[in-house]
Amino acid sequence: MVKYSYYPGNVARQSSYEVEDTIQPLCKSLGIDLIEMIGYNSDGGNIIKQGNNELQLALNARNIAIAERNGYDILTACASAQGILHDSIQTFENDPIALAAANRVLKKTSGMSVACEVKTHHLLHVLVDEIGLDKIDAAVVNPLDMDIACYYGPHMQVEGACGDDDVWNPTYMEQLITALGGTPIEFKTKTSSVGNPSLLSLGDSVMKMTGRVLNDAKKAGAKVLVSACTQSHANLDSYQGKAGRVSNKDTNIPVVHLTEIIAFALGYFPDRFAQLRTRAMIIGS
Amino acid sequence: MSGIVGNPELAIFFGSQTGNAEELAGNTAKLAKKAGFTPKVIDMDGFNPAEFSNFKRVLIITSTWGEGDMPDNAEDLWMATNELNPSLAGVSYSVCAIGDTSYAEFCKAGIDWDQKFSALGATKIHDIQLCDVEYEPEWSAWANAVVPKMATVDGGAATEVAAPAETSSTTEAPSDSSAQSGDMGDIMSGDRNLAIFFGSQTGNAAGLAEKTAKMAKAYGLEPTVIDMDGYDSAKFAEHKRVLIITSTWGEGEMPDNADALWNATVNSNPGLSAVHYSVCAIGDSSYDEFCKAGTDWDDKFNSLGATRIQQIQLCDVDFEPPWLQWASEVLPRIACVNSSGIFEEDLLETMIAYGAGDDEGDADDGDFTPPEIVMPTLSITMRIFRYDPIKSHTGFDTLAVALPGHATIEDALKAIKRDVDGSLAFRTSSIAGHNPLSGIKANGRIIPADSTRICDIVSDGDELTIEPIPGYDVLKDLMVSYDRYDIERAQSKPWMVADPRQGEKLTNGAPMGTMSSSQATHLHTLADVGSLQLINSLSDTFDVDSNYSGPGIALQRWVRSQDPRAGEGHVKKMLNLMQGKGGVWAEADISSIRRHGIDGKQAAESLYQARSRLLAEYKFTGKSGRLVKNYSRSVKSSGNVNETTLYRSVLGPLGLGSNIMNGVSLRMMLGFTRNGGPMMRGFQGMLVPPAGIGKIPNMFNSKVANHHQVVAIFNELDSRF
Repeated sequence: MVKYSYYPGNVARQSSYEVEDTIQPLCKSLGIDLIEMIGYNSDGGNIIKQGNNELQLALNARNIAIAERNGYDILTACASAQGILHDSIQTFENDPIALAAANRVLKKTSGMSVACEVKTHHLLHVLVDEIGLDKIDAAVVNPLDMDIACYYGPHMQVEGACGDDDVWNPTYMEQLITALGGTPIEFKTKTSSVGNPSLLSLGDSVMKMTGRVLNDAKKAGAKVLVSACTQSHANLDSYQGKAGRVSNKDTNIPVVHLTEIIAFALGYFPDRFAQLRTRAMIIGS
Repeated sequence: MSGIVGNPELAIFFGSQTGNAEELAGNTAKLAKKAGFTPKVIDMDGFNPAEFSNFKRVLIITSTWGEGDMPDNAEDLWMATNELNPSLAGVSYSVCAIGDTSYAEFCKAGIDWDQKFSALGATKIHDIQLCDVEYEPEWSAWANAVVPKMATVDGGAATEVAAPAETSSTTEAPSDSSAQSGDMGDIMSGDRNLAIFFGSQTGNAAGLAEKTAKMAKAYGLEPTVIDMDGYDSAKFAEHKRVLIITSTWGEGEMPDNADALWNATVNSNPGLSAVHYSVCAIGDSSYDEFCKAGTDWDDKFNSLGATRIQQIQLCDVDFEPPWLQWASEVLPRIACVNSSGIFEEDLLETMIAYGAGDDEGDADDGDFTPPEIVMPTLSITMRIFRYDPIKSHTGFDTLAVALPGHATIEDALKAIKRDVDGSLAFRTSSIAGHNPLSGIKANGRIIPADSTRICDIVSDGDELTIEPIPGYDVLKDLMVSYDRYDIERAQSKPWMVADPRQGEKLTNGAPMGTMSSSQATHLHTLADVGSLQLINSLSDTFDVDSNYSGPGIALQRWVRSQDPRAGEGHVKKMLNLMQGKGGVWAEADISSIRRHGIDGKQAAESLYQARSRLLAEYKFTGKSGRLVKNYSRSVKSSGNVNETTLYRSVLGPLGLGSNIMNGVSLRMMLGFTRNGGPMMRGFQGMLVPPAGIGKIPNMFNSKVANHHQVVAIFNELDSRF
């Protein structure tokens, strides 16, 4: 059993509770012990950073300090959270002035401090690099048996933030989908942004970016799109119809979180999996 | 070293006021070295006369200064020698004296040394040579006579000389030790002149001649670029190495500047048997007389007895690649022509290595060890985007290629253009330097093609897909138009505009036109990227939003708005442009820029800083401002993001209405995102106020544990929220 401090991110326990529904059982099956980060807060979503960089760093410092108190590296299922946490840790490791400033505030407000002793990992990289695809393959109960495109987004596709995967042409999710019995479908915009940080503030351009990714996946032959970013999922799924209309492209494709598809393959929520299959069969033609 | 008896050491002293004698000493050393001696060129200044006798062979070359005086550097030695009067028995010597017959004491310093050495018992092996102001022919006669005579003098055992610090190396040849050893040493220490003639109508051939001259220096050649206009055809024969680069004008005619020389050469037919040559001809294959001027010169030199060292190169309108190939091949060959006019072909491989600078000996010279830059050859499959603007065809060419890993992407494209498809279009850098417009997309990465190595993108056996950079109109293949960038830049005028000058200081009190070095450094850092045009393409938003001026433009506006020299009105203009439509808020996701290496990170950080400044300046107005303000307040109020209230406050009634009309709310409500999860989660927000319409479940965030700590952090760092 490997242990991680679990950071749910901004939506897994709010609007996208299906992530929380699925990450817990899949981690249990694969021997990952998720340790609660009691009192964790929002990472700022790179939105608070636009107003005050120091403030976002201090909020992340608090999360990092909580993980250090737990004594385990951080695991998250959100690519956006992974990117922001990685960026913050890197800043603290490389900029002693920024670290001292954050610790001064942290000490004063919570009595904690950051010692730069933990790293952060996305679930995907833990599964491939640490758990191993063989173990996952062996744990599959309901093979996916579908053509699945994998969306990574740009946030965690940064040197040092995506395990040993390729920054520019990642393949970890495709390997994972293969291990889960599915057929990975390559498409060229799998690391492109869908503009999630500006979902509420920008209209057409975000919809066009979203439409481009969805259409590329669909054109490549995918029946389902899996997202490693719980934030971007809102663009890809809830805004799918609007994106199609604005971009004038075919964007109709079922979108699921990475945690969901893994949990389904491992035998959890067979009813939901059945519904996904049905949707893929009806929509994904 | 044949014929030299004993130790081959030969001391060559110079007494020099203006450098002429020193130069002759160096030239004498070259001659001596070719004859097998180990010459030592010794400055008289600081030399101990007691050590004259350490040498068996001594040559003295000295000028005379003023009214028969020793040159400054010889004065002390002359006096010391006269005081010490050392015995010079066993020393063989000769003197070359430089002077001016218009002076009464012509060559007195040299004569004094000659007499002194003789008086001290040295053996005069050759009579003193007195040289007038045109000293070279007389020196040459003396040197060519005295050096062979010195070979007959027994050099005895090797000597250890406590030479003065100024004792110089024996030759002025390149410092590469291997190049000076053996046959290469001989060839490098002799005459290295190379004459590069150009016949040019529009300047292309002249430009190539200059470039060829620069490349020639790598082979130890001393190139001279010569305009054919006004050149005397009789002087062709004075050169051992000649390169001709010429265009053809009209219907096979010589270019204007070559016409007279051509006619003179045809009429005079000078003998060129001692000349090695090659011709690079530029033309246009759509003309019948393609490259005729070049072929005429080639035939003429050949008929006059010159030796063609390399076949003529015929270049079409895209002349640079074939010229480069010709220059790369001909230069090492012509560099192997020795000072006697003989082509030493056995040295060719060594010369190529020498020119490439990869001679192992280099690494041993000095303290600097160059890093390993040679990478293994990679066999890869290249997929290159092609676009034919005439036929409006797009597609990919696929080629299997083997290239050195250290070659750049541009090198690969050039090789393909040269060897496979001359119609491939892409932007290139000049021979030296980086072209910020050379950007391409290589396996998803936006990179400058001229400074990115292939081995940094792919490994052996990989596929390399090359596409034009996004966000700009494609003109042809990989070449894009940067008009969009140029127009945006011209319209926003992000250059320095100060307030009207009213004295030595600006209206803001700062000195006119100055800033501190730290401010200057800060400004440079804000936009310290290799290519602002390329920065635009890093953004995933730039190519979907034609109204977005792009992050490259935003960076320039941001820098100028921070420039303390800029006038208040101009700063305000820059801020307004950044805040307005197409400004920094048009960027949908700065993360897409940030992940592109150092440049991307720098650009992203500057954009975040710009946004912070704009939020302060414009009081969180607009959707973007409301998003930041409400997002922050949401986090402060519970520790987490309350999406429901965020949707309502940022989108407003119109935005929410749009979500309803576009089915966004319906998809959220009916649980599309949850694959059969509890439907109640979807309905929750619709039914329970004050949620409104948005992505709703569990939106009534309970506060995180120790929520007061989060509030305290906000209160500590930003009271605006």
